[in-house]
Amino acid sequence: MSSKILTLLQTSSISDHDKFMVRTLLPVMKPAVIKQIEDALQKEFSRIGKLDEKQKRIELKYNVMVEKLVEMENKK
Amino acid sequence: MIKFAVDKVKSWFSENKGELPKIGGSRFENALKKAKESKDVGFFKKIFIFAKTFLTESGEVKKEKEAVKGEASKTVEQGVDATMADARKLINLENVKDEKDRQFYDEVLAMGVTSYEGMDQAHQVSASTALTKIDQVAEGKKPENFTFEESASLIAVGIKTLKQLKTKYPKKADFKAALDRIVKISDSSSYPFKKLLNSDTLKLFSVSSDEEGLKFLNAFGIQASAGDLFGSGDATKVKDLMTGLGKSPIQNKEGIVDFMKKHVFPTTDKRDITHVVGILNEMITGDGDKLSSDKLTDLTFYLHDNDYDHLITALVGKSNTSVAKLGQLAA
Repeated sequence: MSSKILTLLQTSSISDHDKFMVRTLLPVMKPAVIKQIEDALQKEFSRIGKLDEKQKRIELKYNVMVEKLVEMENKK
Repeated sequence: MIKFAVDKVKSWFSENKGELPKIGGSRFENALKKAKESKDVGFFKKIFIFAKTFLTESGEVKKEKEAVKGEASKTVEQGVDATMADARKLINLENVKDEKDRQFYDEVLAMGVTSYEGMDQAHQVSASTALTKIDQVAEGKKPENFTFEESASLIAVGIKTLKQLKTKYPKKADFKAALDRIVKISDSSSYPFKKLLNSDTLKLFSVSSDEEGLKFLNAFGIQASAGDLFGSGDATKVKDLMTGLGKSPIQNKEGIVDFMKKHVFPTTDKRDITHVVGILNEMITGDGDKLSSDKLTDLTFYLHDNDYDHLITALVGKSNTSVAKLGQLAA
Protein backbone atom coordinates (compact mmCIF):
# COMPACT_ATOMS: atom_id res chain seq x y z
CA MET A 1 0.00 0.00 0.00
CA SER A 2 2.84 2.38 0.92
CA SER A 3 4.68 1.90 -2.36
CA LYS A 4 1.49 2.70 -4.27
CA ILE A 5 1.18 5.98 -2.36
CA LEU A 6 4.81 6.84 -3.16
CA THR A 7 4.08 6.22 -6.86
CA LEU A 8 0.90 8.31 -6.77
CA LEU A 9 2.76 11.16 -5.03
CA GLN A 10 5.10 11.46 -8.02
CA THR A 11 2.30 12.79 -10.22
CA SER A 12 -0.01 14.25 -7.58
CA SER A 13 -0.77 17.97 -7.71
CA ILE A 14 -0.81 18.43 -3.90
CA SER A 15 1.81 20.79 -2.42
CA ASP A 16 5.45 19.78 -1.98
CA HIS A 17 5.03 20.24 1.77
CA ASP A 18 2.12 17.78 1.90
CA LYS A 19 4.08 15.32 -0.26
CA PHE A 20 7.09 15.56 2.07
CA MET A 21 4.92 15.03 5.16
CA VAL A 22 3.28 11.93 3.68
CA ARG A 23 6.61 10.43 2.52
CA THR A 24 8.18 11.05 5.94
CA LEU A 25 5.27 9.90 8.09
CA LEU A 26 4.20 6.94 5.97
CA PRO A 27 6.13 4.36 8.06
CA VAL A 28 4.31 5.41 11.25
CA MET A 29 0.83 6.18 9.90
CA LYS A 30 -2.10 4.04 11.04
CA PRO A 31 -3.42 1.64 8.37
CA ALA A 32 -6.79 3.46 8.26
CA VAL A 33 -5.03 6.79 7.58
CA ILE A 34 -2.85 5.21 4.89
CA LYS A 35 -5.97 3.77 3.24
CA GLN A 36 -7.72 7.18 3.25
CA ILE A 37 -4.68 8.87 1.73
CA GLU A 38 -4.27 6.18 -0.89
CA ASP A 39 -7.95 6.41 -1.85
CA ALA A 40 -7.77 10.21 -2.09
CA LEU A 41 -4.60 10.14 -4.23
CA GLN A 42 -6.00 7.37 -6.44
CA LYS A 43 -9.22 9.36 -6.93
CA GLU A 44 -7.17 12.47 -7.74
CA PHE A 45 -5.06 10.49 -10.21
CA SER A 46 -8.03 9.13 -12.15
CA ARG A 47 -9.98 12.42 -12.12
CA ILE A 48 -6.95 14.45 -13.21
CA GLY A 49 -6.37 11.86 -15.93
CA LYS A 50 -9.93 12.37 -17.20
CA LEU A 51 -9.55 16.15 -17.05
CA ASP A 52 -6.27 15.91 -19.00
CA GLU A 53 -8.17 13.96 -21.67
CA LYS A 54 -10.89 16.62 -21.68
CA GLN A 55 -8.24 19.32 -22.08
CA LYS A 56 -6.73 17.43 -25.01
CA ARG A 57 -10.16 17.25 -26.68
CA ILE A 58 -10.64 21.01 -26.22
CA GLU A 59 -7.24 21.65 -27.82
CA LEU A 60 -8.02 19.28 -30.66
CA LYS A 61 -11.37 20.99 -31.31
CA TYR A 62 -9.65 24.38 -31.37
CA ASN A 63 -6.94 23.18 -33.75
CA VAL A 64 -9.46 21.53 -36.09
CA MET A 65 -11.63 24.67 -36.21
CA VAL A 66 -8.66 26.93 -36.88
CA GLU A 67 -7.34 24.52 -39.53
CA LYS A 68 -10.72 24.47 -41.23
CA LEU A 69 -10.93 28.26 -41.21
CA VAL A 70 -7.39 28.57 -42.60
CA GLU A 71 -8.21 26.06 -45.32
CA MET A 72 -11.35 27.96 -46.31
CA GLU A 73 -9.50 31.28 -46.36
CA ASN A 74 -6.68 29.88 -48.49
CA LYS A 75 -9.20 28.43 -50.97
CA LYS A 76 -10.86 31.80 -51.53
CA MET B 1 -11.85 48.61 -39.94
CA ILE B 2 -9.61 45.71 -41.01
CA LYS B 3 -6.57 47.35 -39.39
CA PHE B 4 -8.52 47.78 -36.17
CA ALA B 5 -9.67 44.12 -36.24
CA VAL B 6 -6.16 42.82 -37.00
CA ASP B 7 -4.56 44.97 -34.29
CA LYS B 8 -7.16 43.97 -31.71
CA VAL B 9 -6.82 40.25 -32.44
CA LYS B 10 -3.01 40.57 -32.50
CA SER B 11 -2.80 42.25 -29.12
CA TRP B 12 -5.35 39.87 -27.60
CA PHE B 13 -3.42 36.85 -28.88
CA SER B 14 -0.20 38.32 -27.55
CA GLU B 15 -1.80 38.78 -24.08
CA ASN B 16 -2.98 35.17 -24.01
CA LYS B 17 0.07 33.68 -25.74
CA GLY B 18 0.95 31.27 -22.93
CA GLU B 19 -2.62 29.98 -22.65
CA LEU B 20 -3.31 29.18 -26.28
CA PRO B 21 -2.06 26.25 -28.35
CA LYS B 22 0.51 27.38 -30.89
CA ILE B 23 -0.80 27.89 -34.40
CA GLY B 24 1.58 28.76 -37.17
CA GLY B 25 3.12 27.46 -40.34
CA SER B 26 3.04 28.92 -43.83
CA ARG B 27 -0.59 27.93 -44.47
CA PHE B 28 -1.75 29.91 -41.48
CA GLU B 29 0.49 32.87 -42.37
CA ASN B 30 -0.91 32.83 -45.92
CA ALA B 31 -4.48 32.79 -44.64
CA LEU B 32 -3.74 35.74 -42.34
CA LYS B 33 -2.15 37.66 -45.21
CA LYS B 34 -5.02 36.86 -47.54
CA ALA B 35 -7.68 37.87 -44.99
CA LYS B 36 -5.85 41.12 -44.34
CA GLU B 37 -5.54 41.92 -48.05
CA SER B 38 -9.16 41.05 -48.80
CA LYS B 39 -10.26 42.90 -45.68
CA ASP B 40 -12.04 39.76 -44.44
CA VAL B 41 -13.04 40.92 -40.96
CA GLY B 42 -15.09 37.71 -40.52
CA PHE B 43 -11.91 35.62 -40.54
CA PHE B 44 -10.46 37.50 -37.63
CA LYS B 45 -13.77 37.49 -35.78
CA LYS B 46 -13.99 33.71 -36.10
CA ILE B 47 -10.38 33.18 -34.94
CA PHE B 48 -11.13 35.42 -31.99
CA ILE B 49 -14.31 33.46 -31.11
CA PHE B 50 -12.50 30.09 -31.40
CA ALA B 51 -9.71 31.29 -29.11
CA LYS B 52 -12.11 32.75 -26.56
CA THR B 53 -14.14 29.53 -26.52
CA PHE B 54 -10.93 27.59 -26.05
CA LEU B 55 -9.88 29.75 -23.11
CA THR B 56 -13.31 29.51 -21.46
CA GLU B 57 -13.40 25.74 -21.76
CA SER B 58 -9.78 25.39 -20.62
CA GLY B 59 -10.54 27.67 -17.68
CA GLU B 60 -13.35 25.33 -16.61
CA VAL B 61 -10.98 22.36 -16.75
CA LYS B 62 -8.42 24.30 -14.72
CA LYS B 63 -11.07 25.07 -12.10
CA GLU B 64 -12.09 21.43 -11.92
CA LYS B 65 -8.42 20.42 -11.50
CA GLU B 66 -8.04 22.90 -8.63
CA ALA B 67 -11.12 21.42 -6.95
CA VAL B 68 -9.73 17.88 -7.32
CA LYS B 69 -6.38 19.04 -5.90
CA GLY B 70 -8.20 20.72 -3.01
CA GLU B 71 -10.10 17.54 -2.14
CA ALA B 72 -6.93 15.40 -2.24
CA SER B 73 -4.98 17.96 -0.18
CA LYS B 74 -7.74 18.08 2.43
CA THR B 75 -7.75 14.30 2.97
CA VAL B 76 -3.93 14.12 2.98
CA GLU B 77 -3.68 16.97 5.52
CA GLN B 78 -6.28 15.31 7.74
CA GLY B 79 -4.16 12.13 7.73
CA VAL B 80 -0.99 14.10 8.49
CA ASP B 81 -2.79 16.03 11.27
CA ALA B 82 -3.95 12.78 12.88
CA THR B 83 -0.40 11.38 12.81
CA MET B 84 1.23 14.57 14.08
CA ALA B 85 -1.39 15.50 16.72
CA ASP B 86 0.56 14.40 19.80
CA ALA B 87 3.91 15.81 18.66
CA ARG B 88 2.39 19.16 17.66
CA LYS B 89 0.65 19.42 21.03
CA LEU B 90 3.93 18.70 22.82
CA ILE B 91 5.99 21.19 20.80
CA ASN B 92 3.24 23.86 20.49
CA LEU B 93 4.04 26.20 17.62
CA GLU B 94 1.06 28.51 18.16
CA ASN B 95 3.36 31.52 18.50
CA VAL B 96 5.07 30.86 15.16
CA LYS B 97 3.14 33.11 12.81
CA ASP B 98 5.04 32.65 9.53
CA GLU B 99 3.41 29.85 7.53
CA LYS B 100 6.65 28.85 5.78
CA ASP B 101 8.42 28.58 9.15
CA ARG B 102 5.59 26.48 10.55
CA GLN B 103 5.72 24.14 7.56
CA PHE B 104 9.51 23.86 7.79
CA TYR B 105 9.38 23.06 11.51
CA ASP B 106 6.54 20.64 10.95
CA GLU B 107 8.71 18.74 8.45
CA VAL B 108 11.56 18.50 10.98
CA LEU B 109 9.08 17.45 13.65
CA ALA B 110 7.76 14.73 11.32
CA MET B 111 11.32 13.38 11.08
CA GLY B 112 11.42 13.34 14.88
CA VAL B 113 8.07 11.54 15.03
CA THR B 114 9.22 8.75 12.68
CA SER B 115 12.51 8.48 14.57
CA TYR B 116 10.63 8.15 17.87
CA GLU B 117 7.79 5.89 16.73
CA GLY B 118 10.18 3.67 14.80
CA MET B 119 11.51 2.39 18.13
CA ASP B 120 9.83 -0.33 20.17
CA GLN B 121 7.51 0.67 23.00
CA ALA B 122 10.06 0.25 25.79
CA HIS B 123 12.49 2.68 24.10
CA GLN B 124 9.63 5.10 23.34
CA VAL B 125 8.75 5.15 27.04
CA SER B 126 12.42 5.75 27.94
CA ALA B 127 12.65 8.67 25.49
CA SER B 128 9.41 10.15 26.89
CA THR B 129 10.71 9.86 30.45
CA ALA B 130 13.89 11.64 29.35
CA LEU B 131 11.80 14.49 27.90
CA THR B 132 9.83 14.72 31.15
CA LYS B 133 13.11 15.08 33.05
CA ILE B 134 14.16 17.89 30.69
CA ASP B 135 10.84 19.62 31.47
CA GLN B 136 11.54 19.21 35.17
CA VAL B 137 14.97 20.85 34.78
CA ALA B 138 13.30 23.77 32.97
CA GLU B 139 10.90 24.10 35.94
CA GLY B 140 13.89 24.40 38.28
CA LYS B 141 13.58 20.87 39.66
CA LYS B 142 16.50 18.45 39.95
CA PRO B 143 15.45 15.07 38.58
CA GLU B 144 17.77 12.06 38.70
CA ASN B 145 20.24 11.76 35.83
CA PHE B 146 19.14 9.77 32.80
CA THR B 147 19.38 6.01 32.99
CA PHE B 148 21.28 4.31 30.16
CA GLU B 149 17.97 3.44 28.45
CA GLU B 150 16.73 7.05 28.67
CA SER B 151 19.99 8.54 27.34
CA ALA B 152 20.29 5.91 24.62
CA SER B 153 16.68 6.30 23.45
CA LEU B 154 16.85 10.09 23.38
CA ILE B 155 20.22 10.10 21.60
CA ALA B 156 18.90 7.54 19.10
CA VAL B 157 15.89 9.75 18.29
CA GLY B 158 18.29 12.69 17.85
CA ILE B 159 20.69 10.77 15.60
CA LYS B 160 17.88 9.36 13.45
CA THR B 161 16.39 12.84 13.06
CA LEU B 162 19.78 14.32 12.15
CA LYS B 163 20.29 11.55 9.61
CA GLN B 164 16.96 12.36 7.95
CA LEU B 165 17.78 16.08 8.03
CA LYS B 166 21.14 15.35 6.37
CA THR B 167 19.33 13.37 3.65
CA LYS B 168 17.10 16.39 2.99
CA TYR B 169 20.00 18.87 3.19
CA PRO B 170 23.08 16.98 1.92
CA LYS B 171 25.15 20.17 1.45
CA LYS B 172 26.88 21.29 4.65
CA ALA B 173 25.95 24.99 4.22
CA ASP B 174 22.27 24.11 3.65
CA PHE B 175 22.29 21.77 6.65
CA LYS B 176 23.78 24.48 8.89
CA ALA B 177 21.20 27.00 7.61
CA ALA B 178 18.43 24.49 8.38
CA LEU B 179 19.77 23.98 11.91
CA ASP B 180 19.95 27.76 12.48
CA ARG B 181 16.36 28.03 11.29
CA ILE B 182 15.29 25.23 13.64
CA VAL B 183 17.01 26.94 16.60
CA LYS B 184 15.36 30.28 15.74
CA ILE B 185 11.85 28.89 15.27
CA SER B 186 12.15 26.65 18.32
CA ASP B 187 12.44 29.78 20.50
CA SER B 188 8.67 30.15 20.05
CA SER B 189 7.94 26.49 20.86
CA SER B 190 7.62 24.52 24.08
CA TYR B 191 11.04 22.98 23.43
CA PRO B 192 13.48 25.76 22.53
CA PHE B 193 16.86 24.34 21.59
CA LYS B 194 18.43 26.62 24.19
CA LYS B 195 16.46 24.69 26.80
CA LEU B 196 17.51 21.33 25.38
CA LEU B 197 21.15 22.24 25.11
CA ASN B 198 21.82 24.24 28.25
CA SER B 199 24.34 22.92 30.75
CA ASP B 200 21.70 21.89 33.33
CA THR B 201 19.95 19.71 30.73
CA LEU B 202 23.22 18.23 29.47
CA LYS B 203 24.13 17.28 33.05
CA LEU B 204 21.24 14.79 32.91
CA PHE B 205 23.40 12.74 30.52
CA SER B 206 26.13 12.26 33.16
CA VAL B 207 26.50 8.62 34.07
CA SER B 208 24.99 8.24 37.52
CA SER B 209 26.62 4.97 38.59
CA ASP B 210 29.18 2.34 37.55
CA GLU B 211 26.29 0.05 36.68
CA GLU B 212 24.83 2.59 34.21
CA GLY B 213 28.31 3.26 32.84
CA LEU B 214 28.83 -0.43 32.19
CA LYS B 215 25.61 -0.56 30.17
CA PHE B 216 27.09 2.07 27.84
CA LEU B 217 30.33 0.10 27.53
CA ASN B 218 28.44 -3.14 26.89
CA ALA B 219 26.50 -1.40 24.12
CA PHE B 220 29.79 -0.82 22.30
CA GLY B 221 31.08 -4.35 22.91
CA ILE B 222 33.24 -3.72 25.99
CA GLN B 223 32.74 -6.14 28.86
CA ALA B 224 33.92 -5.68 32.43
CA SER B 225 36.40 -8.37 33.44
CA ALA B 226 38.13 -9.59 36.57
CA GLY B 227 40.98 -7.23 35.69
CA ASP B 228 38.67 -4.30 36.31
CA LEU B 229 38.57 -5.23 39.97
CA PHE B 230 42.30 -4.39 40.06
CA GLY B 231 42.08 -1.38 37.76
CA SER B 232 43.55 -3.06 34.66
CA GLY B 233 40.49 -4.34 32.73
CA ASP B 234 39.05 -2.91 29.49
CA ALA B 235 36.21 -1.14 31.31
CA THR B 236 38.68 0.65 33.57
CA LYS B 237 40.83 1.68 30.60
CA VAL B 238 37.82 3.14 28.80
CA LYS B 239 36.71 4.92 31.96
CA ASP B 240 40.19 6.52 32.19
CA LEU B 241 40.07 7.49 28.52
CA MET B 242 36.65 9.11 28.94
CA THR B 243 37.91 10.99 31.98
CA GLY B 244 40.66 12.38 29.74
CA LEU B 245 38.05 13.47 27.18
CA GLY B 246 36.49 15.71 29.83
CA LYS B 247 39.78 17.42 30.75
CA SER B 248 41.08 20.74 29.47
CA PRO B 249 43.46 20.29 27.73
CA ILE B 250 42.32 16.86 26.57
CA GLN B 251 44.41 13.92 27.82
CA ASN B 252 45.48 10.93 25.67
CA LYS B 253 43.64 12.20 22.60
CA GLU B 254 45.24 9.54 20.41
CA GLY B 255 44.03 6.77 22.73
CA ILE B 256 40.50 8.20 22.68
CA VAL B 257 40.54 8.39 18.86
CA ASP B 258 41.75 4.77 18.61
CA PHE B 259 38.99 3.66 20.98
CA MET B 260 36.33 5.56 19.02
CA LYS B 261 37.57 4.09 15.74
CA LYS B 262 37.49 0.57 17.12
CA HIS B 263 34.19 0.66 19.00
CA VAL B 264 32.04 3.70 18.18
CA PHE B 265 32.70 4.97 14.63
CA PRO B 266 34.24 2.01 12.75
CA THR B 267 33.60 3.41 9.25
CA THR B 268 34.52 7.05 9.84
CA ASP B 269 38.02 8.11 8.79
CA LYS B 270 40.44 8.38 11.74
CA ARG B 271 41.31 11.98 10.82
CA ASP B 272 37.61 12.90 10.99
CA ILE B 273 37.25 11.11 14.33
CA THR B 274 40.09 13.31 15.63
CA HIS B 275 37.96 16.37 14.76
CA VAL B 276 34.90 14.76 16.40
CA VAL B 277 36.85 14.07 19.59
CA GLY B 278 38.03 17.68 19.62
CA ILE B 279 34.45 18.93 19.32
CA LEU B 280 33.24 16.56 22.06
CA ASN B 281 36.03 17.83 24.32
CA GLU B 282 35.00 21.45 23.65
CA MET B 283 31.39 20.56 24.39
CA ILE B 284 32.25 18.96 27.71
CA THR B 285 34.78 21.52 28.89
CA GLY B 286 33.71 24.70 27.09
CA ASP B 287 31.73 27.57 28.55
CA GLY B 288 28.56 29.19 27.19
CA ASP B 289 26.72 27.37 24.43
CA LYS B 290 27.57 23.71 24.83
CA LEU B 291 26.35 22.66 21.42
CA SER B 292 26.06 25.33 18.72
CA SER B 293 24.65 24.69 15.25
CA ASP B 294 28.25 25.02 13.92
CA LYS B 295 29.46 22.21 16.17
CA LEU B 296 26.44 20.03 15.47
CA THR B 297 26.91 20.54 11.70
CA ASP B 298 30.60 19.61 11.94
CA LEU B 299 29.79 16.52 14.01
CA THR B 300 27.10 15.44 11.57
CA PHE B 301 29.34 15.82 8.52
CA TYR B 302 32.53 14.35 10.01
CA LEU B 303 30.72 11.09 10.75
CA HIS B 304 30.32 8.50 8.01
CA ASP B 305 26.66 7.70 7.21
CA ASN B 306 27.19 4.02 8.13
CA ASP B 307 28.18 5.02 11.64
CA TYR B 308 24.78 6.62 12.29
CA ASP B 309 23.22 3.16 12.02
CA HIS B 310 26.10 1.65 13.98
CA LEU B 311 25.47 4.11 16.82
CA ILE B 312 21.70 3.56 16.80
CA THR B 313 22.18 -0.22 16.77
CA ALA B 314 24.59 0.00 19.70
CA LEU B 315 22.28 2.24 21.71
CA VAL B 316 18.81 0.84 21.07
CA GLY B 317 19.27 -2.36 19.06
CA LYS B 318 19.20 -3.23 15.36
CA SER B 319 15.40 -3.51 15.11
CA ASN B 320 15.12 0.19 15.97
CA THR B 321 17.20 1.52 13.08
CA SER B 322 14.58 0.79 10.42
CA VAL B 323 12.85 4.16 10.34
CA ALA B 324 16.13 5.95 9.75
CA LYS B 325 16.35 3.97 6.51
CA LEU B 326 12.73 4.55 5.60
CA GLY B 327 13.26 8.22 6.29
CA GLN B 328 15.51 8.38 3.24
CA LEU B 329 12.36 8.11 1.14
CA ALA B 330 11.63 11.62 2.25
CA ALA B 331 14.51 13.01 0.22
